[in-house]
Amino acid sequence: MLVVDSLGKRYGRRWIFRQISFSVSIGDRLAILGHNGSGKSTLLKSLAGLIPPTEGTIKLDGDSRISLGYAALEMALYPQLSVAEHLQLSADLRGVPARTDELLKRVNLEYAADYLASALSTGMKARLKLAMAIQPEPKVLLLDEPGASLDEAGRTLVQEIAEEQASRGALIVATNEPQERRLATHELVLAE
Amino acid sequence: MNSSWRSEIFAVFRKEVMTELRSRSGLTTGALFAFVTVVTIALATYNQRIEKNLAAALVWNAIMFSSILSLPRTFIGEEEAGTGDLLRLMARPHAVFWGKSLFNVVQALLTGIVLSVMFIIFTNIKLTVPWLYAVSLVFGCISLAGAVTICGALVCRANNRYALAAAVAVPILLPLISLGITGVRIGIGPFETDASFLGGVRAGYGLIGYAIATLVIGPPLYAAVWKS
Amino acid sequence: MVRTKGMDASLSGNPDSERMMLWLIAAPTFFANFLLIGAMTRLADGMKKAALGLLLSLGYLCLAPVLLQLATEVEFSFVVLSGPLLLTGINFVILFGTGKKAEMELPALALSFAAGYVVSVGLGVLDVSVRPLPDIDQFPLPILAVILGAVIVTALSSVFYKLVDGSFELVKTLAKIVFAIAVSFATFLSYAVQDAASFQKPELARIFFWHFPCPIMATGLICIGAWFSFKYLQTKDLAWDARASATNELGYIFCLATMTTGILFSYVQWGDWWQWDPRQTSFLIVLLIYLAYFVLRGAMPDEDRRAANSGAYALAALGPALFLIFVFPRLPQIAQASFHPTKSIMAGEIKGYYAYVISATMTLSLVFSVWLYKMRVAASLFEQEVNNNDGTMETNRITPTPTGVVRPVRVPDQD
Repeated sequence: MLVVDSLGKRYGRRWIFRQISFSVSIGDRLAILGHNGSGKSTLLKSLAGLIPPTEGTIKLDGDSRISLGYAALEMALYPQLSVAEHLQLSADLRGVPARTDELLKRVNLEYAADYLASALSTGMKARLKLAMAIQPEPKVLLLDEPGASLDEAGRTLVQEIAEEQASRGALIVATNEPQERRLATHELVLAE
Repeated sequence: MNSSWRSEIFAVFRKEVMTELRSRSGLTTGALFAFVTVVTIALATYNQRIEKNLAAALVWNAIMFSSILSLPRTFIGEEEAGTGDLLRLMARPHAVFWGKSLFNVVQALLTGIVLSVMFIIFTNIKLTVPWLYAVSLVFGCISLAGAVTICGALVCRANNRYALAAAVAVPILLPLISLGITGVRIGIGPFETDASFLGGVRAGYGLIGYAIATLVIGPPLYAAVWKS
Repeated sequence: MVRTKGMDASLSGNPDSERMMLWLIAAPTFFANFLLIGAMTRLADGMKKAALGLLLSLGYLCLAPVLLQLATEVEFSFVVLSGPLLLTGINFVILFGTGKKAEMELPALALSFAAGYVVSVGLGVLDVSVRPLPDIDQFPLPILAVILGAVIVTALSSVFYKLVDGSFELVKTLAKIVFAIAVSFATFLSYAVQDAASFQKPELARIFFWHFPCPIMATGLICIGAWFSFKYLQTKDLAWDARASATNELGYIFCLATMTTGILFSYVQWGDWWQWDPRQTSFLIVLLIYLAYFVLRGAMPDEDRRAANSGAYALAALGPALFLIFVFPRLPQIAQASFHPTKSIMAGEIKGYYAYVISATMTLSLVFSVWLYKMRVAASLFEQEVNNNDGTMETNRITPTPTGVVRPVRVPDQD
């Protein structure tokens, strides 16, 4: 489903990570661990295709727009678009059904469908990004510190989504939280 | 073009329009710049008849600089707000490029047409060959939009993007501007010989070719830098 | 036998003192040249380079009287010209051979080449204008002088190399000597040919030999650079980016040489430094287009991003650049305004010795470019290698500790 072979990324002369190889298939839940600055987010971004790796290969089955879902704290939303418009845009671009009501209900945002993204709190933004990530029912779901800005209900939501994902594909989560770590069936520790 | 491409391109275009209408940053900046330029020219040449070479150069200068100011925003704004990643996750590069180019073409045409109408009114210029003037203006603006969109896409993830966008775009635009000036100059007229009229027509063809070329090579180039 | 010239009466006094003056102009220029490179490169290397550059310049200056004597006896001036050309070449060798921070050195490189080229051609022009030209029959002695000069300078450069990075290779040194001799000989030939009667200042038409190859090399290199960029975008292999940037840098340097020799040519033949001649103008814009390429590269620290974006720019810029070089100067109304003798070149009016000299300078620029290109690419690849090894040059030091999946509840499936 997703095969990573001797992946490495360096900026200038500093290797962020190197020689990372693994593969995930249906039901796998991989936690990427490591302290701050160990390259968890960079690795996840590489897997999502947002950063070109310096060496190594990533093989993903199917069109990455549909078979990959990605949500991260630092990813921005369009301040001038509403919550529902975000989901519509995402669906149009990916060529999948929008399922706006269903998804908003799933992440408990149905009351905020017409809010502009600039008016959302960090936690609400995180929920919207989760909704966009699971919209195409991806084979691989990448979550970068999913619980970081969420309340207790939100964390439960992440757990539920993680379990749903395992039935349909694989989950890769970058985290340091013991609770999220427990979600995983496998772990990968990035050393300095 | 099948329906999925069309809906993707249209989704990008609609997103640009909605963002623009709700923030009004790009169009306002461009329009204000164009307006100020035309008024300045009109004031500076008050009471004089502007020579046709100068008039053509002034029109194109105003269009070029207002475009360079407003058009690269479509890509640069995306990276500044940090939404570039969102788009890279969900869209195909060709659709993004086409959607944004379409939006920029509309924006450039609006600016170009409004600006040149204002220019004609303020400076009392009579057009000898209106159709050549129109062709040069329309295809000039399309080429301009295409070329500036490419440049915006190339510089959007660099340091000091705005200054760089101008530095990168201006030299690439100069051949296009030289064709545009020839076309508009002959369009304003009066011209001396048939040969110079033919030169103007050829410049018009050149602009059409330039417009097609930028829109054809733009998407593959953008696709190549899309995920870098 | 001897043709007399008289462009500037105030300078045509004692030939020896004039030659001495030329050398006094030349020496500080070379010195400044080296200092500039030294300052531009990193401090430790830079100090070393600057100091050695000073030594070399002084050493060459001490040799000047000997060469001068040889040259004066046979009323010949090309030794003066071949000196700066050779020094510029050596300059390049040092810069490319020892440079590690490739991106930073481009401005230094371009400036030093332009300075060297202008000094060479400028001194040649000045020299020809103040004194009688020798006759073509007096070949042997000047050739000996040139060969001696070339050998000495190349030997000095090898010593220089040895001091800078401790390496010395006989074959390469011999190749350099042969090349230096060839350059000197071409320079010599360019002085020995007949004046070109159709020019306003027939004797100064010789700049043409050093001007004509530059735009051709520049255009060719720009096209090759675009091809390499295309290959990079296709393969995403940084080696192609190294090749593309090296080619474009060289192309840019030839653009600069085109402009500088062109400006000089314009001054002596048309009376003004800048004529707004269509070809001059369009080449200036080409210069700007490629300047933007390097500015763009400089603005992107991430190598992959820099390679992709500048590569795409090089491809996008190729169209406008070719338009400016080939189409724009031929547009009907614009072609009439040009002073450029395009028609006489196209109509094959370059014959006899002129054709030989142009072939020689063309060939030499080609050899020179290939040589520089290879060194430049090698330096870039070396830099990439160094970066891959955390900045150390011991390639076997890093055996990356594979970061694996630990504490697996279940070993990952290989699918």
